[in-house]
Amino acid sequence: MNRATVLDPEGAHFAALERVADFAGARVLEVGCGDGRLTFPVAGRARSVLAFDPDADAVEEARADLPAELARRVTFAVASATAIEIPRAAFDIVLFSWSL
Amino acid sequence: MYVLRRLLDTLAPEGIVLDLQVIRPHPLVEVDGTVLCEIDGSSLFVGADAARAAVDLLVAEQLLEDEAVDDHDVRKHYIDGAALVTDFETGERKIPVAAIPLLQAVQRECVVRERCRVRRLRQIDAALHRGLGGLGWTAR
Repeated sequence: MNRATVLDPEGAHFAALERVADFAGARVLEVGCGDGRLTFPVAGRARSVLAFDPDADAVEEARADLPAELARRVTFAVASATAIEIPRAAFDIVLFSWSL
Repeated sequence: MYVLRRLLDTLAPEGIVLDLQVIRPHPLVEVDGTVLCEIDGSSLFVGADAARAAVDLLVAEQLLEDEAVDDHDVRKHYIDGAALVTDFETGERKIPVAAIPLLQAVQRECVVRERCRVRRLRQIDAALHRGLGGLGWTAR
């Protein structure tokens, strides 16, 4: 997305997520994280976030934009949901938004 | 379905799935709060419908239980109409041809507003789906 475009500056997506889920202290797996638009606010509440996406450019952008204060809580990976290896029973919340 | 079952395997007991998808109606293009045109969102709905159907199947199998739903509008802001037209040139969703010259003349912010839904689903029985899936994930 170029800089002449801003998706959801009102934070409607995250506000909706917060209305239905409590991220406080949660271990979160984010499937299809894209450029990290949802990763960052989720990580602000969660204990940890593993966020992945097959789009390497988007993940690179997410890594570059990751606020320093969240760096210890967030792990980004370039991977598809069919191939990534993830431990069993390791997450409290799985978030996916693959049609967005 | 394969991916969804893999994702369920990563959940701790009683863990939850948050499924965020676009839903109907079709997205709208707005200028100064006034609707200028509708965008055919069908191409995106195909994927969203398939994803919803996959989740529904896991609900039917009693691996997940619907707990909450939240519908909300999400806005994508463009610096002007030309930026919006350019953004849609490469995607599957297309702006109506008749609206393109109108949009290209708009030299102020344009907004695409679309409806989204987040579902919260809770895992019912981790042992059961492991038995069905048998995927054997391990940490690398």
